[in-house]
Amino acid sequence: MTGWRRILSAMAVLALASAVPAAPAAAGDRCAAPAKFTTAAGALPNAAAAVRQRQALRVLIVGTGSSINGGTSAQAASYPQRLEKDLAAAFPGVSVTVQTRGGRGLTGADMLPLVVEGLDDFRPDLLIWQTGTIDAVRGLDPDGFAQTIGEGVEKALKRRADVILMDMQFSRFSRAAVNYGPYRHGLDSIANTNAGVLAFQRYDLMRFWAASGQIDVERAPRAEWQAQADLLHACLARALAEVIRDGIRQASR
Amino acid sequence: MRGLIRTNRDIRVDFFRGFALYCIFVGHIPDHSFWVATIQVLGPSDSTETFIFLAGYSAAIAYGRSYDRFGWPYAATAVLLRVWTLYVVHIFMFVAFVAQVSWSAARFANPAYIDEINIGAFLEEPHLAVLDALSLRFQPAFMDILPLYIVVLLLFALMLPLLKRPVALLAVSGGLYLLIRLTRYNLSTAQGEWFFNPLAWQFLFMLGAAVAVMPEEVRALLRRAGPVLLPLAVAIAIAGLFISAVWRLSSVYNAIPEPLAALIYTAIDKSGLHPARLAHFLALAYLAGRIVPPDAPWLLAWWAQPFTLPGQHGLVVFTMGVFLSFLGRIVMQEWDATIATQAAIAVLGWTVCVVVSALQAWYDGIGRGGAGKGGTGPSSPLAAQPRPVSGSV
Repeated sequence: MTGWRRILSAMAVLALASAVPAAPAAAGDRCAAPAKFTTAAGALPNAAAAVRQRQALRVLIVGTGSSINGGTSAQAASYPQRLEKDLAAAFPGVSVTVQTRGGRGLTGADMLPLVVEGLDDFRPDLLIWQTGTIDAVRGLDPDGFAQTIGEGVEKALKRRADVILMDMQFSRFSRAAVNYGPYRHGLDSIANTNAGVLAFQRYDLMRFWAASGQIDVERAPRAEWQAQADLLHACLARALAEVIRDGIRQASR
Repeated sequence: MRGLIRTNRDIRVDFFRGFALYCIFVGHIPDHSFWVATIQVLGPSDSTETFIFLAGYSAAIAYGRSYDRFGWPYAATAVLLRVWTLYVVHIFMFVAFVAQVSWSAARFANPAYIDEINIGAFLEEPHLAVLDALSLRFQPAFMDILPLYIVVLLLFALMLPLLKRPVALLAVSGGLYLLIRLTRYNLSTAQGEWFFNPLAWQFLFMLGAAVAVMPEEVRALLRRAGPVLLPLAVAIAIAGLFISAVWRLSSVYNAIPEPLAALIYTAIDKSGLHPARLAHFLALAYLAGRIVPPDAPWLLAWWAQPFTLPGQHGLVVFTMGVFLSFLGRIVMQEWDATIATQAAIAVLGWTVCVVVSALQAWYDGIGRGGAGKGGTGPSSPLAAQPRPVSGSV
């Protein structure tokens, strides 16, 4: 690509990306978060190319219970479905498709075949892999976990899909009873050591929201469980959409 | 407090062990921000290395003396009694963990935490969980350092006679370490493998023991090698700072060549005591030994006493610290985790450890029939410490 064409296409993507607010303002200020949670630490070149060249963006989400059934009032309120809408709004004219696979209780190793299958069947431009919870809860070998995730990430990059690795949900009880540290470090290290791979730090983001009193699923009274989960997923989707938009913007620079 | 600290021994060891115990206490409370002032920021090795090494050092002095006076069966029995105490504490921690999880699990009925509820899965088969706990095969989060210490002490009871031949001790222990590094063998737990592989970590403990019983010729040799060892240790310590920065600061990570950064980030395992961790710890220990003279006045300064005194009563402080960090986690779970609360947890928790070690020192002092300072010290250079009493690990 010549310099001029590169600049032109970058400007086109920038124009697309900044034309529309990242997410509907319905969730209000409750979603507010420090910039480090809503900006990308690196570029998402495959997603950017898909948006630029095909006006299409295919996102595969593989995850555990919190991605498949996160306690929201309806499927449509969960973060994968909301992300599809938010991304469509962020990239007008681009056809955004989000597909979700996985299920409750799955370890990283359980999900690896689902990732491979999804990559082959769905051919995504971006893989969002939400993982680590079950491995940490069960105390499985952290090095083996990181190896498994690394393997999946390598396969995704080979098939021209960028990757966002999403870590655990924050809760005070699991912080006290589960040692998430080594698994989170494993995910961070894979994100840090591979171009086209980002870490989405859900644990720290949810911890921030809980500390600031914006969103607190764990301490909500039973009657508000669903409403809090809906809010959480809306805000997660919004933060994810902003990260993706920023990653695409960086790839187009 | 000053009067309770025994000074007829190398109190540098006590200070650093006390500080390591404090770091272990804080380090076992996730999201506690005081970790920035713990040993781990210095490089790949952390307070676990310091604690295990100094435990070996103290054990060689205490049990080596028992061995000299009363023979192997007696000294080994003394070690086994220590193991039994640790084992009972481990089971106590298991019971505390069961109480925490079964009591908190109700809240996790919230479908938002459909995955996390698995923390309580072991409660569905309590007969298996109890058997696994009794056989050290159930090691939930933060309950991994006690089993490590138990197995290392068992190995030490076997290797006691080798204290007379430090070279043979290091050969056997180092051989096992190499074998484990090469084969990657690890003991299994109910879920996977030991977080701290005791067959690898025993080497650090035995290194500490060997240093304690090091013959005078070797000490002289080390002194002569100073011009080589000192720059080497400084270089390794600086490399350690660099590794710590690569681990924790993305700006540093991005500033160095990718393959090197990736290697530093991923290759240094904790479970099998990676050689980089080992080398880094030994360099720090050497530098501490060179920089701090045995009778440095600051070791007894008002601010150092709360570490030096608990460091003289490692066993009771270690077990108390494990339990207090559990309570600290509960406070952060049930109450809040603001920085003020975190500071209160650290200060109050460590105060309890200091008080407990003061009580132990007072009790031991009465038992010896003298003041806490230990009275007439033995003349052997190896055993600058009175008879092993319950305070020494």
